[in-house]
Amino acid sequence: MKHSLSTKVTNFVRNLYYPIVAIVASLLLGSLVIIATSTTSPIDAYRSLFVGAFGGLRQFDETLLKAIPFIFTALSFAMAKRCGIINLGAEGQFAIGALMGTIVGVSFPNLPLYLHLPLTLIAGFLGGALFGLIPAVLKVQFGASELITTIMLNYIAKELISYFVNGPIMDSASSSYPQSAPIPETARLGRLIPGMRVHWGLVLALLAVLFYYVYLWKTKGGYELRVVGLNPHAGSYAGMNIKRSIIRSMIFAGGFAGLGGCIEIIAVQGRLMMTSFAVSYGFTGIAVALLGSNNPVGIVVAGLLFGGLQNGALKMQAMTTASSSVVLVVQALVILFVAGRLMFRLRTGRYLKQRTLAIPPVAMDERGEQR
Amino acid sequence: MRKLRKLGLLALALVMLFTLVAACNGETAKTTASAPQSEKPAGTDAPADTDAPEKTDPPAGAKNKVALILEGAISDMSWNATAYEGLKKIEALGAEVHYTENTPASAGGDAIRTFADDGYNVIFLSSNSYQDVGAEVAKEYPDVQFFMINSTVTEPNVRSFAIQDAEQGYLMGALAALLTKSNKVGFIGGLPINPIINGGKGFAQGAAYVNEDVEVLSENTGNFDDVAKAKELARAFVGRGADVLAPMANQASLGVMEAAEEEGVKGIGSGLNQETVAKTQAVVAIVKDTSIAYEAAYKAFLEGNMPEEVLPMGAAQGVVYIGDYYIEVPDEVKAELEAIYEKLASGEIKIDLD
Repeated sequence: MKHSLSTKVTNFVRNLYYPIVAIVASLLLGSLVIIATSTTSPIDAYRSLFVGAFGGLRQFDETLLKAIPFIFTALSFAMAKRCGIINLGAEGQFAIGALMGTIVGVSFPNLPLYLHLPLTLIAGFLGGALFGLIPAVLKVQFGASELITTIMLNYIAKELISYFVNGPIMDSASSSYPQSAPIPETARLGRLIPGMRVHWGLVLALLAVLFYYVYLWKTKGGYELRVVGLNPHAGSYAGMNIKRSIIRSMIFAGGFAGLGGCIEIIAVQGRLMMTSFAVSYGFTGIAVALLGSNNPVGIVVAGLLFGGLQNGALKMQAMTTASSSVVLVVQALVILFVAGRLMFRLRTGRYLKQRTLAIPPVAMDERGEQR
Repeated sequence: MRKLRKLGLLALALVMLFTLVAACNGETAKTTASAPQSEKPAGTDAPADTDAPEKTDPPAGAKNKVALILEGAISDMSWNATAYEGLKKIEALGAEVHYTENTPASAGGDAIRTFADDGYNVIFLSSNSYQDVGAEVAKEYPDVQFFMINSTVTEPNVRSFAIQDAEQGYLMGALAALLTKSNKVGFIGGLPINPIINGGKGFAQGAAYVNEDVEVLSENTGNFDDVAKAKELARAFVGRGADVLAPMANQASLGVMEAAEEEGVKGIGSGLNQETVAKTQAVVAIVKDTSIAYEAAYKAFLEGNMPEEVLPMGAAQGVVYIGDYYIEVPDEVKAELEAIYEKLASGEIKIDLD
């Protein structure tokens, strides 16, 4: 199906409309929270937020750094969503990826870098993939809803981390704070540009986005996955193996999250701690994927925005009396407004026409999202 | 399937290639990043010119900018509350101050960078939890003076204080042993970091000093903010026969005091205002007023004579003290506790932490 240039442009603008409206509405409502909870004016608070996020090279560097894990967890959510699975377990997959990466990282201190680093990254990917496989198997074998299993597995992941940092991989060398030993240099991901903090994980994240695009839109397996996501009955009728598609999508989904978690530890935090996941990377990733409409470019842009919010929040809390929790409120509102985006529908002729068409409530649009 | 395998191989090849490049780059990045730092005379007030052009040290006479990074909330009636008191005392000395609360250790590095990049020249790290991350990030800011509470790190720009949690525990244990009728007392710690572990050791030794036969139940909840968990643990101790409870768990201490009130056993507070949740059962607070340590640290910074060794801050310095009694307590108990306090302050009683 060929689109003319003008339809392409209008489509592009239309795709941008809801995300932008959602962000603006969230910021406006968030300003009410600032007024209610602090003595800072919302304008000052948001100014320090945005200066802290995008005010200069150093700030942008930090924003890029913070965006990397969100891009991975957003890919995790999007990959599963394309196959009709709601993966709320990126949080746990991220943590298990971080745990596996840390275990491989600290267990083989004498390996050369060209072996150690890839092994660590693969361990992170596999850890997340296996953790994503559990709900997939539970779903295809026993029909267990992934909404429940993925959420519950997050708690298991959290307790596993707590067990490991308090026991098997606890650092005995320094203070008794529950944390692993530092990741040795041979398993560390280096900086991308000397003098900046952004690391090679950015390149890996972009490669993952590229993989996401190529796999879903340029391969047979990805095509099947998308068809199953749009309409499993049609896929089944066309001879596609639904179970296999679901399992495949969750392996990649978990793997993306796991890789993200592993990279966050070996490139940024340097060691695994009980509080390593104080930022809820997985759930923020859902917001990023929703805002980016599960679209590769959209995910990168939304990831940068949320990375900026995360980064600017620290600055805002440090410089004003507004709490960084305001940013969590804004992020939650973004999810609400994207999910309920029909409330912003412009009352044009098309709206009336569509309404009279009486769309069934659970119909999917072409991106595989429920209207 | 074959296509998938090809794709997998391609991905693997990409990862390999990528690591090679990253490896080369990572090493160059490391050397260039560390070079300017080693050249700089550490600990001097020379303006940083290489890595942070926007950061300039305040000219002489300008206000010092002091930041405090807290693991919990300033409303915890305990560790973080007294730290905030300390910051206010520093403000009264003429500094411009700011704090950030509820910052977990994993976010500590970001918090330090945020303040240091914004021109803060004195940064207090309020907890042992920040020891490792603080030591790492402090190297990036040789011109910023760091004070770490309950750490063992000393660098040219890092000074550490050791709050004598063990002495607080010792006094709590001694008082618990003086008050108990069932000869069972309970200690509930928070996150099992060295200060809390030491507090537990002090508690056991303090109880034994008063009465060898007192059985000490001791457990850590694993964090500082789970009030409900601390309460459950306290209840379990009461179920096992303890009739005096003492918490050392920051915010979560309130759960222990609540349990004491509800179960009708005595509670020994570890900070001022904890009695508000145990109006009839709170005996006294063995206060660990860290604000004194903060003020002393800042004064030493102003005078420019900061000792290199880790400074103890306990009974002798007035940081650990016995607060006002909330309920009726026999005078001989008060006198005996006071005597133990004096012995701790004079060094006559030494707590064994090994």
